[in-house]
Amino acid sequence: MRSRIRAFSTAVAAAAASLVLAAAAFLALAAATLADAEPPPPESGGHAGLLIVIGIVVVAVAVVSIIALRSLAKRRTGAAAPADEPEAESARAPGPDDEGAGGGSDA
Amino acid sequence: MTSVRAARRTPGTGRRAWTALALAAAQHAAVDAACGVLLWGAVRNGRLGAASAWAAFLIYNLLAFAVQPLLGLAVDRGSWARASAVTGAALTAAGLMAAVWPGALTPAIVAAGLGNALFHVGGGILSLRLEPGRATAPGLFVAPGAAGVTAGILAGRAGTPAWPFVAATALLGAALWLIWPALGHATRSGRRTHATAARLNPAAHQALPLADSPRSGFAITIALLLLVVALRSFVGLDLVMPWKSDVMLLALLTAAVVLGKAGGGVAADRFGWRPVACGALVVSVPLLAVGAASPWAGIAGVLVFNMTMPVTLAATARLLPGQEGFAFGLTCLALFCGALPVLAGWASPLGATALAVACAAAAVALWAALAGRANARDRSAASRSIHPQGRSYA
Repeated sequence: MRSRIRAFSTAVAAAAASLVLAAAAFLALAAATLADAEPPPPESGGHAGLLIVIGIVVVAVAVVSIIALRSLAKRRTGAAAPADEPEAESARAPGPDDEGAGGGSDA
Repeated sequence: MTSVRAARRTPGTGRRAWTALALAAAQHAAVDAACGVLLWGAVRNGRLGAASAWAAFLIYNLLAFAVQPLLGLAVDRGSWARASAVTGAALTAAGLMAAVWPGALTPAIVAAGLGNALFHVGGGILSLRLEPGRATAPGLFVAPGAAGVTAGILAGRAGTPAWPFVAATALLGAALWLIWPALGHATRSGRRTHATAARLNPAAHQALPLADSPRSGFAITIALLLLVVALRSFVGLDLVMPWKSDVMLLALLTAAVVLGKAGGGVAADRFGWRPVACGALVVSVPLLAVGAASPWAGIAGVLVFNMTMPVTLAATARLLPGQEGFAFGLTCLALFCGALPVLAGWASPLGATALAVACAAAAVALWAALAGRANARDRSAASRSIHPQGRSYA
C-alpha cells in the first residue's frame, strides 16, 4: 500500500513538474511572440535568454532523470540480492565439500 | 510442448496486438503531421515572424522531446499509458483546432508540444511492451512519424486546412482507446512482460552484459546508448542535402527514413542487434559523405543510418524493465540534446571527416553498449528452440 502511495505521489510530482515546464514554455513563447515586432538579428545574441532558459530546463530534466536512474539502479541491485540468497544457501547446505561453490560471484 | 504453448502466450502476440500497434503507428504519423501543420501553417500565414518562429520551433521541440522523461516517469508510476497516448492525441488535435482563433497560437503550440510528448510516451510504452526485449515493434511504431513530419510540413506550407488532420488524430485516438483494454496484460505490467520475455528468450535477454554488473555497468551502458542517440540526432539534422527541395526526392528521402527505422528493428531481431546497428552506422558513412552531391547515395545512406534507432530504444527499455515510458523519454531527451546545437544555429554543416568521426564514435559506443554474449547465432538458435516452426512473433 505504501509503495503504491509512493508511486502515485511520484507520478503526480513528475506530472506537476511537466506542467510547470509547460507553463514556463508558454511564458517564454509569449514573450518571444511579443518581441517579434523587432526581431533581433541572430548574431547579436538576442536569443541568448531563450537558449539559457532552454538549457536550464534540459539540465533540470536531466538531473531528475539521473536521480530516477540512480534510484532504479539501487532497486535493481537490491532486488537481485535476495533472489541469489537461496541458491547460495542451497549450495552451502550439502557440506564442506561445496565450500565456495555458492560464493555468489554471479550476483 | 509446454514452452511452445508458453511462447504462443508471449505478451502482445495476436492480431489485436498488431492492430493496436498499427493504430498507434498511424496515430504517430497523424500527431506529428498535425504539429507540422500547426507550426508551418502559422509561418505561412505570417502569424509567426522571423524571431518568434525560431523560438516557437525551439520551444515546441523542447516540450515534445525534452520533457518526456518526466512524463514517462509519471506515466510509468501511475500506469497511465492508455490515458497518456489518447490524451496526448486529443491535446494535439485541440491545439490544432484552437490555433485558428486569433491570440490562441501560443497556447496551441504549447498544447501541441505537450500533447505530442504525452502521445509518444503512451504509444512508446505500448510498442515496447508488446514484445519486450525486441526491437521490431518499437521500430514499427516510431517509423511513420517521419512521414507525418514531412506531410505536416508540406501541408502547412501549402496552406492545407487543418480539419483532416484533426479528424484523423481524433478518430485514431478513439480507435486506440477502444482497442487498448483488449490487449490484456501486454500493456498492463512491464515487469511481468519482461520476466516472461526473459523466460522465453533468455539469449536475447542477456544481450547487454555491461548492464548485468551492478550500478557502474548499468550507468555506463545507459550513458553509451544515450550518447549514440544524441550523436545520431546531431548528424541526422546537420546533414546538408540541397536536393531536398525537389518534392519527389524529399518523398523518397522520407520513405528511406521510414523504411530504415521499421526495417532496422526487424533486421536487428533477425540477425542480431550489434552487427545490424553498428554495421549500419559504418556503412552509412561513405554514403552520407557523398549524399550532398548524389541524391541516391544520400537516400541510401539515410535509410541505413536510421536502422540503429529501434536498437538503441529497445536496448534502453531492456535496461529499465517496467519503466518503458521513462526509457522512451530518455532517448527523446538525448534526441533533443543532439539536435540543440543545430536548432540553436551553433553547428556548421558537417564535412566528410567530421561525419566519419561522429558515426565512428557512435558505432564504437554502441558496440561497447551491446557487446554481449548473445550473438546473432545464439539468439536465432534460442529463438528456434522456442518457436520450432520458425515463427518469431515479430
